[in-house]
Amino acid sequence: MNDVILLTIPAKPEYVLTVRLAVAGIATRAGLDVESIEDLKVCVAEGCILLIGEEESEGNENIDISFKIDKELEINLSRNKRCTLLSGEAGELSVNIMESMVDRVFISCKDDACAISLLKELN
Amino acid sequence: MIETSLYDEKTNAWIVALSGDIEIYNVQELKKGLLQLIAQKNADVVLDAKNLNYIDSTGLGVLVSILKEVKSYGGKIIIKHLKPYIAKIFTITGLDNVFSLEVDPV
Repeated sequence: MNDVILLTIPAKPEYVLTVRLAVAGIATRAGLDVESIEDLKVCVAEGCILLIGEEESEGNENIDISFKIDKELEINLSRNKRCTLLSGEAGELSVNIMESMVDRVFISCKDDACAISLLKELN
Repeated sequence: MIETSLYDEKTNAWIVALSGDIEIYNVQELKKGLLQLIAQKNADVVLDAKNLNYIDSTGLGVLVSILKEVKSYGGKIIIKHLKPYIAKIFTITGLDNVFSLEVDPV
């Protein structure tokens, strides 16, 4: 399998649930077990929380999410805005959770964009 | 979210039943509800998480902020009937050492 699923949501708290539901479906199709699926839902939601931040979204700002299913499940989340939560206590909690629940986490944050990559190996 | 809340005079504690998902979208509602209770009566808080299905880092953050308030008058927060997969999030973040947790068996 070498499939890609793309999802774009408004960068607003009310749409994180949509992402969690999508993750459940995609992770099931990728063959993950129930516990791994729950972990992944939590991780991706934390990624969204980091990208949404504390400020109200202005206009049509989005979070782009891609899911690539191959030998591993690679989930990339990005937003064209600096992530303000990363340096604080709340950001630390999110990063701890993500790092504990998937195999690899990469975070790249610049002045005008932030990207989070989560990798989960598939057996 | 807060399903029910009642004050138990015998133990001087608020018994608060949580349910569903506590997430970034509704977390302020939880904070407001818990702050209202402890403002009404400074007491311990017992959170019954039997019907709680999910909590994210924003929810944990609110619980920590409420704990600070509760500790300021010498109280404590006990979280009961946590599902193991939710307890795991408390452990990962080190909050199992901050709250008094009672986890349900698998």
